Amino acid sequence: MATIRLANITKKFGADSVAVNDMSLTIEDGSFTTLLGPSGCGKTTLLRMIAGLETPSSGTISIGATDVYSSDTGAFVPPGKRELGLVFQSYALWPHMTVLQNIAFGLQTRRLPRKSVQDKVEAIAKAMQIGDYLHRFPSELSGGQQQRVAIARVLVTEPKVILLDEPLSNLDAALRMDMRAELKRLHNEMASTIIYVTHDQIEALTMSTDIALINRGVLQQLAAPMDLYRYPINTFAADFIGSPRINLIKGKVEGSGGSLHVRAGDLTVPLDVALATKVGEDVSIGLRAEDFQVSASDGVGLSPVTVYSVLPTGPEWYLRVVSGGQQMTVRVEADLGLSPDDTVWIGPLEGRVKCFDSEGRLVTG
Amino acid sequence: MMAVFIAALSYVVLVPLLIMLHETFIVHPLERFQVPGSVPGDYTMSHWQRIFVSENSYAFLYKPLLNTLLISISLAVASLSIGGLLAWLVVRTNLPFKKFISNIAIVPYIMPSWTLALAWIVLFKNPRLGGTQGVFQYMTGIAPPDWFSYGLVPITICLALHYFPFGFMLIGAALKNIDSQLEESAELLGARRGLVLRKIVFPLVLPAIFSTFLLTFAKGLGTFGTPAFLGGPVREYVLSTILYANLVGQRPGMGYLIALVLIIFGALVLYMNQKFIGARRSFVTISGKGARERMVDLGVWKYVIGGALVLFLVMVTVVPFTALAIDTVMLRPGIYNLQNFTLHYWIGEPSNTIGLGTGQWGILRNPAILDALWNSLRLGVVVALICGVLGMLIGYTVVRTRGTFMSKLLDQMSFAPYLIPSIAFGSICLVLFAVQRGPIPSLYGTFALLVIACVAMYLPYASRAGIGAMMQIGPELEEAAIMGGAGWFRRIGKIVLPLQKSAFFSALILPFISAMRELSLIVLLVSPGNQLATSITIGYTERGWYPYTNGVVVLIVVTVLTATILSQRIFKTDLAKGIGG
Repeated sequence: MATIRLANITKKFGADSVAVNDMSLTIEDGSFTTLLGPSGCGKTTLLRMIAGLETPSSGTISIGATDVYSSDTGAFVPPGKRELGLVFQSYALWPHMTVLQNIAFGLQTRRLPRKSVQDKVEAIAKAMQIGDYLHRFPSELSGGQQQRVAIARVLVTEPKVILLDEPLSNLDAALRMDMRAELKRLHNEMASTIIYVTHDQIEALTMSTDIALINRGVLQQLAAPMDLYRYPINTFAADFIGSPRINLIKGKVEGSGGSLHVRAGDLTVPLDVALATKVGEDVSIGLRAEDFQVSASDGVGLSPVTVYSVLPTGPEWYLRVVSGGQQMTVRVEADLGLSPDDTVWIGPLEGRVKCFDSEGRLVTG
Repeated sequence: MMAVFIAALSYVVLVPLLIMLHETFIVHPLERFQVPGSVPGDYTMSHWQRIFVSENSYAFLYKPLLNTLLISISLAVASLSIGGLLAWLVVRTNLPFKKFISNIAIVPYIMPSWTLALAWIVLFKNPRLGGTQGVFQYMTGIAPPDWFSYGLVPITICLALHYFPFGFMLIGAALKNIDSQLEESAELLGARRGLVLRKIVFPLVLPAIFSTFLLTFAKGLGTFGTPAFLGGPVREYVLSTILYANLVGQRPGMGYLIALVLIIFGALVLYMNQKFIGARRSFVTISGKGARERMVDLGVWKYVIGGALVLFLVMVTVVPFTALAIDTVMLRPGIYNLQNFTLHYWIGEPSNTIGLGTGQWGILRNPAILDALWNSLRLGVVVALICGVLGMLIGYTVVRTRGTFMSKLLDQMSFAPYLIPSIAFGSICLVLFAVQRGPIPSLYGTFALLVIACVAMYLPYASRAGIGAMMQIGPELEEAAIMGGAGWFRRIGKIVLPLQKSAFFSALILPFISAMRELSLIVLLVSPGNQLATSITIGYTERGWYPYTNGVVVLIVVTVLTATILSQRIFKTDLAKGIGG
């Protein structure tokens, strides 16, 4: 009922600045979809077009069965009638109104009876644990409390879709973790659609049911978080998702028939035989830090590389290694007692190798 | 849309100039004697010739022009020095009595600009030129020399004392807005105080310094009251008084030529503002974070300087006002003893034997004066309301459409009247509305014309305040309301206005004060049947009936001061918001 469809949406600012370029995207009813991308990629513009605060230069946006904007038919439903709620990055709480007045505003605009406004506000305030602060002004609340008020203000109107524009970026790290858990829980309880904008891939991976990865106004990939992590369809997706960043090893496809590989110095990465058509071509091999077997001594399928630096993070160690002039990061789960310039033996794990062609597209054969 | 707007704009700007130019080539009814053998309506070069290249050109144009420039430049330098020093002392040092000094320092600007001129006459007139002795001579026995009683010196002093609050407010605001972290980082890099002042503080307040200079310079060009009252008796003219004399004397040909000269100077000021400040204006709006804890320590001098400032400010506010008030209760001027004190000029019956002002009712019973006062009050309120609403709308439009050509144009346009010499602006209004032109009816002598002129002239105050206020409201606050389904009016009513109450009333109060005390702008636009409190005083002054003039001024000052104080108390308004360039 509240599936959101974007069809061929383009948004231009001025003559030659294209924020969103011919994007088509379907956001499923009941999903927690994150619009993810670097700053300036067009994700906030996209959100604001769904909200109705910006109008697309061309294309159609529909919510459920209604076209809320269409450049073909001229349809336009104003923001207040789209049954959406938007939580702003800065919260945008009205500083001259109390928490109660802030939350009640949308209900009063809809001309609800006073009693029912009161009841709804109290119910949502209780649910969001801000019931004690109803008569305070926003400036008298902490960042986390302001955040809850901003969410309560949106939830109280029972929107079909909730839009969140980087809502956690103004919170400190510990609070951010808490709010992530709460937002995810909230989504489960309400069963309404959430569209969430962020540039933080960890936030996207931890909370979403779907991630729409956007770069330069173009949709790169729409997938469930772990699918996006494991099967990026291009080097941008591979590189943007994951921390530490994925290793992209550059080289030529060598060998023939039953044995294909790419070499970087002493390191040999075996490739799937299906890639035989690519022999002789330049490719990038994507391997995440945990996609390697790492050993302090030689073994089958392992190649010697040089340790550049050792980076312990607590539960695990990251090794920065160099092979054939290319740096990569590999993960080990135990302290191998290595020092810089030592030799370590590494090899890719089975089934983890991702191969991208010279234009960055995933090739599978 | 854009084309229509630009067309309308050029109509308002270009048409009056063309009409004015046309008038300078025409023989008007009373000018036909100057041009032998002509009839009214003939074309002639004689006005141009008389103004620019006749044996009288020096008296008609060059001398007044020189006087005007001399006064305006000295005035600008003096306002800058006094205002700047005061601003620095108040914002950056541990000066005592700061609150009192800040409050009283803007009072000279709130009073009509010629209040000080009238007070000067009361205090420093000498018997030879003023008829009777002034307070100074009564107290010391020394007659002030003519050059000190009247003429360029007192004109410049009185104007500088009226306009230095501009410098105080503009430079003060700029100093306050400097993020202290900017200075601290320079200090941490090892820069000494002097170097920080020179390399960081000064460049950051430079736009405010330019603004002050241009603004006070422009005000000096167009001001009428002070040079009329202090220059008239010694026949020292400036462009504004010559312009007035020509237009009142039914010589529009020469009058409009002088007006054009003034407008050229106004355009020059606008150009300089655009060139030197236009782009830099933005850096005054740096957010003033970081508490300023460390003030320059004035040491043992702090009370001496503080005391001297208080004394100075009392001398330029309380003393002149008191002098004027006392003057209104003395039956015969110059005689300072108790028998001479009377309320005749306030509540007296018409008389041919007692006092000055033959046959006049006392001020509070005088229908002409009461009408004029009522007109002024009405004008102030109407102008304030229109300006306030327009100012907020302009602010809203400029800020919400930020970055577009329209936004920039509107921003610049609404600022332009600020720098046009008042009396020249008045003559533009006169030329546009004196007779019916196309669909625009003749408005000469109507209240509406006064409203139009004042709204156009004071809109900058309101739009400055409006723009400044809207900058403070992030668009999300409104967008959140849009998402909540609130329409434009509900957003303005529930979000924008409540947040900007004090800014809105700031946008109201300056136009109100300005309209109440305006003379230069409206002196050409009032008619005998439609006087304002300010313009009615000219007739009394010309007849030498100073107690009437002074009494009316006392009433105006009381009104504007009350309005200012009330709005500060009730609405927390800040005058500086409307002046900030």
